[in-house]
Amino acid sequence: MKVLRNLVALKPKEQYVPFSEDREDQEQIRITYYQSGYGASIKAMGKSIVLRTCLENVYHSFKDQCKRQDAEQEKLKQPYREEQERQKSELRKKETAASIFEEEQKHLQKSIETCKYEMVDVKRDPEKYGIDADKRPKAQFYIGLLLLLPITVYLFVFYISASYSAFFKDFETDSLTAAIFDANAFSKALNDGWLEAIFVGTIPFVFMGLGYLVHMFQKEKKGVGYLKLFALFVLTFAFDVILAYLIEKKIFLFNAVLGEQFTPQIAVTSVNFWGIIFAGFVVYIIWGLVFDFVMKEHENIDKIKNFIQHKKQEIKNLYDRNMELSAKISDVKQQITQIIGIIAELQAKIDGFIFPKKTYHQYHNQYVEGWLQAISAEISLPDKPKQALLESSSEVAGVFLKEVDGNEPGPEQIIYMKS
Amino acid sequence: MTTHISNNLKSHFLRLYQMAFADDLFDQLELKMLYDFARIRGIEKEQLNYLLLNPSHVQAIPDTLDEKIEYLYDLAQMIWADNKVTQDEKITLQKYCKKFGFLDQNIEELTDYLLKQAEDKKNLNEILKELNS
Repeated sequence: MKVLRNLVALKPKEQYVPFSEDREDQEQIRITYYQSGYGASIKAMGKSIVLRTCLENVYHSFKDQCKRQDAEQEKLKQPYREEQERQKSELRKKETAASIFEEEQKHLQKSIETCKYEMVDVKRDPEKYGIDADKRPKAQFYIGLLLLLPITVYLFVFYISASYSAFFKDFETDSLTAAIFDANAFSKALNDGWLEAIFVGTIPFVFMGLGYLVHMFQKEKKGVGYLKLFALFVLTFAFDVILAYLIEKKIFLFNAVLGEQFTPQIAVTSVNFWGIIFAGFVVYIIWGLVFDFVMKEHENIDKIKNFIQHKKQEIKNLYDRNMELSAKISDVKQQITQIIGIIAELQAKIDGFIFPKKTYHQYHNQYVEGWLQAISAEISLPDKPKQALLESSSEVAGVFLKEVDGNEPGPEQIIYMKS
Repeated sequence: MTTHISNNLKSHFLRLYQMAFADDLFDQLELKMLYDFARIRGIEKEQLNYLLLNPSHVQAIPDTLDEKIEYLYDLAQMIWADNKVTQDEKITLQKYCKKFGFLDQNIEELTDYLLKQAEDKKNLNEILKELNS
């Protein structure tokens, strides 16, 4: 094995050698055709019928000569070869484009499949997709709602009754047994006046409003939010204490002997007092928590719905892009087919034979010129027949050129493709 | 951020994809390798796609010997991307060795050497060191 360093030895920079045109050779050939025509004309006495045969010989020998001249043919075919190379490079470019588009399409297809899978999977495992939700938000939402409704009814009943007892009930006339819970509180309030009924009827909404605020402040999840929450609980508790205190006071005063005074110490040591607070405040807290839970589950259903909606939109966009790519691929493939056709056509030209029409035209003219010159200079005839001979020779030459498609305007070459 | 791609590098990537096509089958592994080469040189996928879909006709040949070997070695690696070497691919590599100005009598051996190193998955620096020693 050679020393590795020698393996990467570089060639010395090549000198540019300008291409030398063989103009002199061509000139010599032209003269030869002239002389050949001149000689043949003398031998044939300028007869136009012989000229046609001579021209046929010239044409065929030129054609054979062209076929034999490989180097000349190569030179003529060079533009076709270059064009073919360019087309091949264009073909590679298009094939790369098709390959890139197809690759992207495969990727899109995969993305569509993934989106479809995620739309189903998000319900099973929402956390996987960054959704902080339970796996079965719908069921939990309905269970929560089922609990919330009776508790709401309970709160209505309790607060209507408690607020009536605390603010309007007259224990002198009413039964003491219904001091805490009065089944007819609302109808009694209604009998007393519509303003009274509205008061006791709307008080439960105040507590529910407070419960709703509990849910909203919990969302904040910051120090201030928790402080507000604490303040709300304190406020509700205080409100319940006042209600319990008022009811307890009324019960006490109904039973009190003369001179007995109701004090807060008496209230806090009474079972009724705490009974009212627990039946109201604790249930209110439970209502607040269940309400918060139901709202959260409802939001969870929305989150999953939004995720699915988002995925549907994504799939639609992916399908649109896929359509665009399909159109591009089909376009590129059509171009590829065209280019393959052009390459094949160029190959047929390269494999075929190129007849240099322009060059032949020149040589033909030289030959005919020699022929006519010989008639004028070498053949002894009176002017009139000489003129007729010149004209008929010229006509024969013209007709022949037309027949071999040599003097038609157009391309400088005739290409005989390999079939 | 898009990286400016020199004419030299543009030509290199066009040669690489021509090489990928040399066996008339643009293998996925070859495409992946093309993107890997681009990534190593800080060229984004979109930039490379643009370059391949809109090639200029500039065919720049690297100036330094190390650069020539680096680019030829990339081509040899590209040939091995689909784990096989076809005759067409080998001829294309020889053509590029010739184009890069290496001596005619060394082309065959240089091509074999590069393909062997690519098959053994050798590091470019090792090859440069070996060839310059």
